[in-house]
Amino acid sequence: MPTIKLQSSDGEIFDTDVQIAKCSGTIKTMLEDLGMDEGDDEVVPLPNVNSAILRKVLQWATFHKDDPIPVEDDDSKEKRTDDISSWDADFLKVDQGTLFELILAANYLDIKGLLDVTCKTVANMIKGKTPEEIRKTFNIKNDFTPAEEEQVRKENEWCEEK
Amino acid sequence: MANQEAASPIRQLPLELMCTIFDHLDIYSRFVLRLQCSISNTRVLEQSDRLYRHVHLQSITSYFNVMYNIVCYPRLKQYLTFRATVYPPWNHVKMITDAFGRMKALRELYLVNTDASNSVMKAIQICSDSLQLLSLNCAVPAVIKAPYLKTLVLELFITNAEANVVLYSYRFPHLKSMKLSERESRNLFKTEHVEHALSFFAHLKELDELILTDITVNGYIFKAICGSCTNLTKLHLDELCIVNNSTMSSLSNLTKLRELKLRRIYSLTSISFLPVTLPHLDLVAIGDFEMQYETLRAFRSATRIEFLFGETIPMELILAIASQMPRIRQVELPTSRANYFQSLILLPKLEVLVINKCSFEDLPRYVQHPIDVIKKLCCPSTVNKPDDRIIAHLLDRFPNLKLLKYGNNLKHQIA
Repeated sequence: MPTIKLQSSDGEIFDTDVQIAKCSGTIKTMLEDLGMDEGDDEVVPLPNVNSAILRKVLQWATFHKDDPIPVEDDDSKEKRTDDISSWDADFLKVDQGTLFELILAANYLDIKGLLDVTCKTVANMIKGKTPEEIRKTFNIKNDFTPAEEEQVRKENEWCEEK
Repeated sequence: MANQEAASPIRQLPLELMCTIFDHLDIYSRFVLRLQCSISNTRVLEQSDRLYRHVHLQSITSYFNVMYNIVCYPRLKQYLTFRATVYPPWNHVKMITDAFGRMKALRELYLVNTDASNSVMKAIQICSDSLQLLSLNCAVPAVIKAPYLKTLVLELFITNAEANVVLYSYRFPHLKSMKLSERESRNLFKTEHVEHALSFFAHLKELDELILTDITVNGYIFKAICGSCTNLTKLHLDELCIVNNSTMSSLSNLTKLRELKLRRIYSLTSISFLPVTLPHLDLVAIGDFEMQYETLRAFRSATRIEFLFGETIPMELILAIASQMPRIRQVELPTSRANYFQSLILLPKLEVLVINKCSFEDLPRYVQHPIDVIKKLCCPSTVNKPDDRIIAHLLDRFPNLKLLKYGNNLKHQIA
């Protein structure tokens, strides 16, 4: 099976199946634009992804390599977040730092499926929580004055749950 | 404080990725996010320009302050789509009518109202110069005036016999697609509105697609459709009542027609399509009504046929299609529990089989002997990708199968 070499920001080389590497739109375009052939010894540098995250990304891409190509989102439809597969849910049981680095990597590498499932995971961490619970979850410091907070509440009065 | 904020990894995400996450949140969660701190408040607001172009509101209650805040929101003018489910009593006619007027950029409006006989809904006016799509699942408003409307979808719930629904088509003369469904009511084209019904279609010269579901179309309306809407490429009729076969000849006016669905036709005589000529017809769908099979030759240009009825298709009908419609390469069936799979081999050019309610797993057991003409099999109701075992069973029944299509246009090529 043809492979290519991917180099993480900290210099580690990953010998990767071409089909799996091409899950990434960025790598696919790079290979096509640079005319790199499978079997070439050239290394594809990925300066924005460290080895720990690249390892996770490749693990995800390997599991999902046979997935059908995701269809474009319909903006008018409400987006669901309750359709994360059990494998993905287990895969994303990581610390917040890793989760957000995975989002950044999925965005940089242009892997729609991974970006989608990681963003859904974060959205699920926000949904149904009180402001105080969210601050605690994400370690956010409230810097509003009481008057500012009151103003935001007033603007959104209409959507508060009855 | 700076150190504490740096410790929050969510802050490392750029705005575009925060927006991607916000896209998955409901409006209440977004509000809770605004309350976090000044930075997240600013970010949610920065995104709101994009956020509030497409508005989808479920379960709008009739509390005045809720209504007021939605329909008097200062950025109404940037809405591109507005989709709302409203519950009775939705009783602020002027406020809602004005709000639609202020949505100056609105392209698509979808309204659902669960109250069938809501007299308030019927008093609302929808007047918009920008509207291109209007979908109403409720009582029809008093006025629909949208000169650039391209698509109109109406599902009426009016059960009140007194209801007087009048739609004036001259207010949307550029309509391309119209889908009407009346469910239990029979108001739209009732007999006392003959003249209105006739003039209704006379204004729709540009209509390209007409789908009438659960509506009984009488002979005079059928003639009006065929006489006026001569640009139609797609016509679906659920129920057609005609006196005799001379009415059918008006179908020939629709020279651009590519898709024709006739579910039920009631007539004093057996239906004959003999006087019909449709040179560009590609798909014909027929239901279980009495017809003269030999006249199916009128549809000889069609390459696809859909059967709109149950489990038994008369052998005579298949034979007639085989001889009168020689170009058929695709057959669409409602279910796999049919008794006619073997007879399909009589169709000389058949390659594609579409079965609407069927799973790849169940299908082989309904096919007694291998059918080698089928190269492509489509089961839109199947959502899961077939595994190797299922594909082996399918190949046993359809030895020349090359492609499987399932779910929402997913494909699986067979090596």
